[in-house]
Amino acid sequence: MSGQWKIPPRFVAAALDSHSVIGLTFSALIYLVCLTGTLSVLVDELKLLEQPPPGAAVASAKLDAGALNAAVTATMAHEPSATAIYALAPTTPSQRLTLTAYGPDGENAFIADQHGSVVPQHTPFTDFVTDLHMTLTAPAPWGSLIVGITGAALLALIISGVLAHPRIFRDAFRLRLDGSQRLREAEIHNRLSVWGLPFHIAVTLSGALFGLANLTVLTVAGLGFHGDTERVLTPIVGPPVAADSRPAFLPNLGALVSRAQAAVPNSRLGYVGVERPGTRGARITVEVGTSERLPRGDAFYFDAQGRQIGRGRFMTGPAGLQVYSGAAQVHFGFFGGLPLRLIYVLLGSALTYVTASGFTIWLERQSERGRTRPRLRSAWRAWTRGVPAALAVAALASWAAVPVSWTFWSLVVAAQGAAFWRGSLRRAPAI
Amino acid sequence: MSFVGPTLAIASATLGVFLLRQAWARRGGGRSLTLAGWCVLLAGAWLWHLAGMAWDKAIAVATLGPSLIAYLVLIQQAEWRDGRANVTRTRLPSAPEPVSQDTFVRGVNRVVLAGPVALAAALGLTALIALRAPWVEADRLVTAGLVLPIAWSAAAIWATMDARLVRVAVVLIATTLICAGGALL
Repeated sequence: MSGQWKIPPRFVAAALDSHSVIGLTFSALIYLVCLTGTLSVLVDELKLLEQPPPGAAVASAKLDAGALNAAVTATMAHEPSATAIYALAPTTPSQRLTLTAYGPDGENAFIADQHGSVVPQHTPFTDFVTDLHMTLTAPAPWGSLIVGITGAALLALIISGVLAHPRIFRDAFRLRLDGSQRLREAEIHNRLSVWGLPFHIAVTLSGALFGLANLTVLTVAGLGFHGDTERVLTPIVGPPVAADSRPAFLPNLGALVSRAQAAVPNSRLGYVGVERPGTRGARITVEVGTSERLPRGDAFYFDAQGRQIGRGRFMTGPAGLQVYSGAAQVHFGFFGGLPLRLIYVLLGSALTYVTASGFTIWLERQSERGRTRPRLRSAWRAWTRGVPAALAVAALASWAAVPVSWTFWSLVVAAQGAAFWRGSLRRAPAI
Repeated sequence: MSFVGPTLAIASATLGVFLLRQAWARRGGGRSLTLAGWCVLLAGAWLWHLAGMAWDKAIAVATLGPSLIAYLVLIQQAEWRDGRANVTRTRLPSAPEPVSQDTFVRGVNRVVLAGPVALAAALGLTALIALRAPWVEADRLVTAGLVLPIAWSAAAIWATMDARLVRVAVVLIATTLICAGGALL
């Protein structure tokens, strides 16, 4: 042992301090983001549960010729003021051709069958869960920024957690659940953390990359491109097409997909995006990829006449583009089918538990030092139990056509109110 | 894809976890066993690659297996002995006492350093990489995007660990100015 390098105890104590401070500040948000992220992994299955066939289009992997044009045209009829329409192709048996129209009145989604007929997508609970995960249901750009900051905080917790526990790897196979609550929680917290480390780092870093993307782009645009954010994003979003509002028919989207697939052997369609649909200034993006690769695929850009104007080599080009596309796959677990996503659910649940137990360990430590903090303890319990319970009730409420968001936030606020009251009651005898 | 490749890859992950368990159970650390364990875990990615996945996907899939297998091992060998009398504080030492005894003002300063000041330094570094690194534009931009959360996290950890707040402030502000200046040049 004498020759072994040892981390100074003071450094370990300082790292634990850092871990505690960052954890206490962000635990509630991290818990919410991790829990909803874990649920969001099953987004396709949740949508099928909420809007099952035959009420909605049947999940299908094979589209008829002309189905894409029919589906986009039908969506334009529903949303005539749409500025962009994205048709996400089904790539698993649980997915359906889904079209999302973006316009002045926000975002509206439709589900298409293999012939291209569309029905409005009505999945309020799934939409709420994914929205809560990505934006906390806060207005843009603040929601995603807060989620990005939460991701950076979680990354800091992961790093400081490793620094604060010098024996974390050596004790990786010990799990002693016979002690006090703090020791039990600490054992589970540390073991779930150390063995989930690769997954925790991957989803946290990729999530923070997307959450803080606006901040990155604004900074780079401000310092290098006179505030031109579109210029900064050109390597990622591809070449622009000048706006021209004169009406124009859509080109044959199926033919564009075939051309893209011809350039990438054994590829399948990822999505088709139509910006400024129905105008001569339209830009069409076709993304095709192969199941062997981690990145989703290469993007092919066409103008309204169907002329190719560029190719985004997310699968075959610079490492940066491949990492960017791969990061999205890694974050959502969409690269290996349902078995892989079930593993994501398990590891995501572990991360959620680690977040909850971290705060509990701190409370127990405080309690051992004579500071019971009943209100905080009560509030934390109400948060860790109340949020999942509120989500479950909100899922039932969506069935009964009660507004999901209202139900969820009302229950969460009520749980916190009750916790405050209960915490005050517990405190009373001591006073 | 045949079942042979994935089966071998899963077996490799299991063997890797087993070897690490044996190594870490030894008092001296079992360096050769530890090395063998990590090598076998890495071989899992190679086996997924042989099973038909490209390297990027093979590595992503291979990192998940050991986590799951280790969780199963932990469940199987968890010590559930009843009775709090068995608890020995020496076995799992109580957490160290906090080192920082910050006053309110010092606490606020620390929060400002770990938050906005650390963020400014990370953004400066991000801009420097995005605008001045000698790579193609897409590589610069994506690297910068990845560096932002890592740099901010590292700076925030340092700001909440270091007892000398002036040193933290000087280094972070200097980093911001130098990086932003470099990006603007």
